[in-house]
Amino acid sequence: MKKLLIVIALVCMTPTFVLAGARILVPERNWNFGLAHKGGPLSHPYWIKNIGDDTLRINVRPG
Amino acid sequence: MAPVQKDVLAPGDSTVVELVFNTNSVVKPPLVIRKHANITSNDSTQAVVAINFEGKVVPDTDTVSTMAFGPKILQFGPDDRKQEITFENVKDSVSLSVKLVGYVMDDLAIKVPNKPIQPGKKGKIEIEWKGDLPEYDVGRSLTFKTGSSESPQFSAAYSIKGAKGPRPAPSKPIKPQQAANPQGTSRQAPTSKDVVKGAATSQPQGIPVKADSVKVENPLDQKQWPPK
Repeated sequence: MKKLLIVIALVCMTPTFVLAGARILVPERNWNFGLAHKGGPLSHPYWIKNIGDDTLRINVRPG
Repeated sequence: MAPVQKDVLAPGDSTVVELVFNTNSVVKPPLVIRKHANITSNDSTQAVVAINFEGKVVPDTDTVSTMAFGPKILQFGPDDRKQEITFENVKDSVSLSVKLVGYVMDDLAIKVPNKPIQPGKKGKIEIEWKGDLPEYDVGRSLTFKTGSSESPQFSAAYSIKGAKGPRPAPSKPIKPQQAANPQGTSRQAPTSKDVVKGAATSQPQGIPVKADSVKVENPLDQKQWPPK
């Protein structure tokens, strides 16, 4: 039991660790432009990262 | 170095997709717009991730909001590298502290007022385009915080005139691309292969928005990513 607790504690203290399989991370998923005038484009970039240990295949489509 | 087309990310790799909304599709402002795109992947824990944005397209003569600003769009070109956004604090109870938020995709130097703009006063944001001439026209926007609870953010659209004019429509949809230099500082012009167009989803409040007004573009530069 004590060893198990130590293992759990070590895992929790590890700042970053690789997750099994392909894992997608999109840290910022919502953006608010606030006020805007009609007449030009509004644009925002979204960052995507693979934080897993396998190849991540992605496809992006307007919903 | 042009971006390398890639929809496959090795462990640790990253990429950027850009959602663009054409405000000209708004027939009658004011209109709150809400849009989203879906990122599908082989992540067994979350096969679909939705990315969303919203905003309020206001008329040129907006008399409701806490602030007024213009012009409608900044137009940069080889002979027009410096532009200004002017804004006015039109309400009498709050001061506006303007600050740039979000990521800037192009090589722009942006100078915001270093003091809050008091009620009834005007301010200006100076913007200088320092990049190389892009191959095709570029259209994006800048978003600023105001410090006002009533109008907390506003966005100004800008365009950069490219050497070949408007980007031709792609013959068929392609997938987003990965930046060639994820940690680098160079800024790359988009190519005609970079745009993905598709049907938009919209949850307008009363007025429909055209269905082709969202596109997904390639990543260009990740100098300031990931976002803090």
